Amino acid sequence: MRPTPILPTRWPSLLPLAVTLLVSATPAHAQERTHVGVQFILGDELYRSELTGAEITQLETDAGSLLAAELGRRIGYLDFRPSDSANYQVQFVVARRSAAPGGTAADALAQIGVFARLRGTSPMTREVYWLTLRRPEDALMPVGTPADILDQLRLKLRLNADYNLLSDSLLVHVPLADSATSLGDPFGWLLPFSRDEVCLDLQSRLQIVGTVPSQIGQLERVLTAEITSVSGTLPSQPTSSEVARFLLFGEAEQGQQHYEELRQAVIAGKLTLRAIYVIKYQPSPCLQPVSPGEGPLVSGGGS
Amino acid sequence: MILWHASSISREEKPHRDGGDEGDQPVSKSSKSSAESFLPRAAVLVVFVIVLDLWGSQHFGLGFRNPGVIAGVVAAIAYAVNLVGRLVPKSERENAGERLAGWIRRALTPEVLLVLGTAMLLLMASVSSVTVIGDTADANTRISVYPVGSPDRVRVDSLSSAPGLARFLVLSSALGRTFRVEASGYLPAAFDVYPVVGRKIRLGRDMSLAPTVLFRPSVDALRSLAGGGSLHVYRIEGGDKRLVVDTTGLEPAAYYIGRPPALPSSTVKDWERALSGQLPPSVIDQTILRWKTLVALTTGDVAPGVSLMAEVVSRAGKPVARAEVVVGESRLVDVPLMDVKS
Repeated sequence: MRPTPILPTRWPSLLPLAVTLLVSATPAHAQERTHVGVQFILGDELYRSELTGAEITQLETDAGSLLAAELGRRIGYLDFRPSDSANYQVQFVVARRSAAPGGTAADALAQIGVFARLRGTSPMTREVYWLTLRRPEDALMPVGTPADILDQLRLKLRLNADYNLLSDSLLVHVPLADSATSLGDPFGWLLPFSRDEVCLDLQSRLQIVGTVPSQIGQLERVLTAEITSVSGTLPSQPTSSEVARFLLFGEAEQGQQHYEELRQAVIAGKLTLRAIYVIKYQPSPCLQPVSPGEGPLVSGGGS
Repeated sequence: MILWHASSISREEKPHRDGGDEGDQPVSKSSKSSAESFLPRAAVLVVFVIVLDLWGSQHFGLGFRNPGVIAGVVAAIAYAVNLVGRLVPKSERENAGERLAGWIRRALTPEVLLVLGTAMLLLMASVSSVTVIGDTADANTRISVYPVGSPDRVRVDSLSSAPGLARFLVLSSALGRTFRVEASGYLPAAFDVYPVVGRKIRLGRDMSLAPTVLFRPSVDALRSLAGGGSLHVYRIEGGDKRLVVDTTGLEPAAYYIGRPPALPSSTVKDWERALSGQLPPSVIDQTILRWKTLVALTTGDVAPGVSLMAEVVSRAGKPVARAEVVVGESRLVDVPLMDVKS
């Protein structure tokens, strides 16, 4: 028998169907979220010259914790921790936006802000300019004490930071999971997480990367899927909290290249899953509440 | 001349002294001759007074040549004489006059004049003065005077605002003595000070204006100063650095050593041109405003040829901007502090 996802369009549904999952693959439940190390690096000389070595170290530690906490409150499918030794590392580096090697007089015109860099996904470092800390017009404003800098950063993280940009540009390359239960009908993947574990809501989109055997060896195939339902044994009238306990199901989007090929491979048990990425994040209400003054869960504001 | 007077007076006075108490005739005769012999002594005294007056005027700025003083003294004497004349009977007045004349005659002996003249000579040969004269722009300028080789005997005063001068009484010698004079904003100089005539020094003519060194912190340095940074100025002498200015909590500005500089508009335009294109206009305006705020650094003046190094250090003790300069001959030495690249 094939596993049957329930609540195919939205939850909680009143479908009185209780389904016991029968899956051919090994259940992947209880997998931990991907751990992402967060590091804050005060790279610009403007700041470094105004602080002692001990102050810089302390500020980098405090700001790393602050960033990890703020990211954790807004992006629930990854586990952000202040660390510099995780497999996946997001570095927030304070630098001049138009920084040139050696520095030029024109640097003074540059704004100083936070570059977000992702390490660990490939030999290449991905980087995006994320958040402005000082505009060119602020050239004569004192930098302040480490506490002042931390306060400014906290304020900007809540009011000006564009978490969508971070998610779409960098975190999209961090896998949500490297295993899932593949289903042929409906064609999709039962994720090893419940909604409350990763705070992914319906309409979040996933990218599935796997390999299938061929005459020339293993071929990498990529499909997109959308989280459409949860799967499990539900009571007749499930509540939202009950639904939240069940595993998420990402259904492959039809009409894609290799759709049928992969579906057949899944049915035949020949698809080897490599990784699942979140390419469009729709946060669920399980995230820690963010007060209105702190901006939206995933703000659309510019930096 | 004084000795000649003394001997001649001494000779003429003997008869009077010998027969002073012997009846009216001799008294009358001796009175006449005594009055005649008194005149040269009085003349000598007048000469003494005039010389003393000239000397006092030269070194103290006071003297009977001052019309106000003269008028006051004359008026006071006239009033006193008139008052005495009204209050005292004629006979007593005549007796008192005789007694007074006698006292003066007896007091003004040749010996007394000799001592007085010698004392004056010694005083004028040893005490002299240095008078420093400035203009209104030099009001409150600090002046220091000390014998060359004895800086520990320095005497300090400020130019008064109204007459614009400062006087220093100094111990000189008959052949003169050399003093070093320092005035804030001027180059120090040494002057020979001779007795009697003293020395009058006119600032700007006898002492050259010291160059004004203007340190202009960069934008980064201005920001650092606003955040609690400090300015250090070193004097470089033979490869050694000697800290001459160490200030914290300064208002972000341009800082100068020497006289307050008058900034020509062309200089300010040059500054604007240098910043143009590197900073937003609002920051350029703020920066120029800072640089037009001039803050004096309390250190000695600098002479041409002196090497200085200025450095702005951040609150964390890290160098932010720096400049070195060898002071030239120009009146205003404009020194921009450049950012220190790590």
